[in-house]
Amino acid sequence: MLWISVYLPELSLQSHCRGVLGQVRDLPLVISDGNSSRPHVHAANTCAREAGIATMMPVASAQARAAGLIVLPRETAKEEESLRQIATWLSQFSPMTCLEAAGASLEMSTTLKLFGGISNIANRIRTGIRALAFHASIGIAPTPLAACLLAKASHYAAGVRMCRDATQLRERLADIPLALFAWPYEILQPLTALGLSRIKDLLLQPRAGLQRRFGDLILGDLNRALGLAPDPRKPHRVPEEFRSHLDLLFDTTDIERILNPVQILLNEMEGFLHAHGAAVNEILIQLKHDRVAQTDHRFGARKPMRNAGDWMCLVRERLAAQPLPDAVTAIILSTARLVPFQLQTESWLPTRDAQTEQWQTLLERIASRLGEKSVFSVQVRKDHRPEHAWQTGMDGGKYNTETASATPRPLLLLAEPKVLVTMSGVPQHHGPLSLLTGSERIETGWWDGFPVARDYFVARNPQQEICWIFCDYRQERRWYLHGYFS
Amino acid sequence: MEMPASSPSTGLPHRVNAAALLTAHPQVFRIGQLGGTAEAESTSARTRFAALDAELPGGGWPRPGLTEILTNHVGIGELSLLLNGACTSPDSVGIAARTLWVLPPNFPWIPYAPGLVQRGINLDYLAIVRPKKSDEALWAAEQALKSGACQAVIVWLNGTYCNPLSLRRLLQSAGAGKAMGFLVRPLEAAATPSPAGLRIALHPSGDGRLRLDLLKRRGLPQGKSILLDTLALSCLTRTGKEAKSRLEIGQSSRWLKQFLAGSDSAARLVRERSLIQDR
Repeated sequence: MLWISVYLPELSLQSHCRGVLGQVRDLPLVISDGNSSRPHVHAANTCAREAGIATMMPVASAQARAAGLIVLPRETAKEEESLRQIATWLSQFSPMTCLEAAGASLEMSTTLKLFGGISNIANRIRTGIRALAFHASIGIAPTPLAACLLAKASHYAAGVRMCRDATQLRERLADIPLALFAWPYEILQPLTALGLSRIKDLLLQPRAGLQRRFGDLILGDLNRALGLAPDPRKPHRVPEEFRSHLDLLFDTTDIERILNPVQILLNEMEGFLHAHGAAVNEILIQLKHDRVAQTDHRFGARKPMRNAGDWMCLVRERLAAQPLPDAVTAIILSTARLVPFQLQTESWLPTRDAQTEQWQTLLERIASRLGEKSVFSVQVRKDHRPEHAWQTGMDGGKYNTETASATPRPLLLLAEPKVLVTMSGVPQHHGPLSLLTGSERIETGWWDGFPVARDYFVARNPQQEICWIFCDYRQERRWYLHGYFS
Repeated sequence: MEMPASSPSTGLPHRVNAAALLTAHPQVFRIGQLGGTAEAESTSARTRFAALDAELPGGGWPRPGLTEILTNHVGIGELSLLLNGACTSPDSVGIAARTLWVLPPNFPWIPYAPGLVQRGINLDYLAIVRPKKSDEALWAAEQALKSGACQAVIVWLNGTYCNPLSLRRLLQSAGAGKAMGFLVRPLEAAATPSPAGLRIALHPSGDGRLRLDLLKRRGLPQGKSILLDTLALSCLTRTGKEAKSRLEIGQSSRWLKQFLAGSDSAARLVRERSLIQDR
């Protein structure tokens, strides 16, 4: 067994303001908790700590120390929601992911090889959680409780503390302060009074006496931490649907300030999709406003995607193109139906598939900004009438060279044939046109209501432009310009 | 006094060969000669017109690079000039080139699929962008050049004026994506400066050929015009004739087959009838 424990020391602070971290960096901000008539500081950001504000300080005295202090009430529901989101994100690494009081633990022995060793995983978890705008400290140990203690210890004295060998656990845990256990004050206080502050002090004491004085809690936790007693855990269940909500602390109309939270939500979604081994075709971003109804933005991709960066490209282009009706107060990201993810084979040389994917991504990007109809490809259609012998299409349908006409066709075609003036029987287009080839008769089409009766010619005008013209012999032999052999 | 460190073989002081260093740089060329470095030669795309290749630094369309085609006409063969080299030459991996055409907002012409197929263009590798605003056209072109997903991007720019900054961005994007950018602009734009490395003005010449004036290129300015048969009028009419003759042969053979089949069945009919009569 090998457990990685993630401890989030600033959970209550970051679950409140992770969407606006950049903006609150220079503002003193505290989270208040406790009795509403005499609240105390539960957590303070760096700026507030520099002003001399410490946790457990009354809010009134904190306000005296920093002018313009932002005080936000603690919301445990939001913290739990954040914890669940993080546990969901972590589930991509291990199916055995359990929630802790302020973090999560993962059992990694089964998936260690898959993710390339413990240090790789630890780095990925740390950077990944930073991308979710949380700060994590990590501990690694053979038991979940020991991993959790090491994670907390590494936060208070920097650096990963790791113990992979169960036989060394006793020495490695020896120096850990007892205050890191989640024990009530009534137990911790007499322990401190007895001069027992670290695990090693406790291990020297007679066990029977400890049990008589403090009950089962201390010995139970010690045994679980050292792997002497079983510690069954209940794994976190990854929800079937993804829906994440992020409040913006300050209402904003600036699109750049919205894109950053959207990126955080997309990162969360990526972890969720990895945990499911799935991808999505469509995502929905709902922006909540103060004065007007919420606006829904649906983003669709032709191919299921799960990479947050790819989705971000689409979202950025589209959101930047349309103005916001009102200041945004909150962002909600949810996914539609999940599709199984198909991994592409990677290769050293650029392959046809990789090129096609790059190409598709490019077209999607352009389409998301300019509109779906602005980007298209052309295809040959089997029809003898020139206007009907082509069609637009985006699915890259197979064309058939057999359907191409044997007689020369122009490169550019006018959507609507243009009537040409005739002077003494010769059609004019920037001067008289001289015919270069004989006629090609194209006629009929009664079956779909677009009958034609035309004689086509390749002609050249005095400016050397080579035109494709036709004579409609039903309507008084009128001449039309239809294309250019550019 | 300290002597400069000397090279062991010659005993002469080390001297940095400035000329060699400079010419090794891909952006540096000698003004007196056609600026075709070895690197440019290996990456540039042949135009398939020997007369033009000989005049272009690097022996083809610059890649990465930005080329301006200046003309006031549609249909004198400007598209054929580009199609021949830029849109059909396979790229370094041997995968057919992808091309993006960016049409101006109110362009009445549609790239005509049957005509493109006749010129050997794979329609799967061609995408067309028709934006609603002209700045969107430049944006799309920039994205395409930068992406590295396409070999060539052809942009039609309607107005004479184009923000030099956006042109410079196009040039930089082409460098980032190792792509060829082609700008088709009106002739009047020749008066305004442009960062494009190659500027070619197109005029019709009297004999049905295309006259190319290289307004700007790396290296010696070029004096006389190049005449190219880009449209290959003869080819056009020849293919026409060929096609016609092929069509005729096809038809005649089909007719012959029908005739033979018909005669066969007729003979069978006659035989059967005679059998009936015999009975």
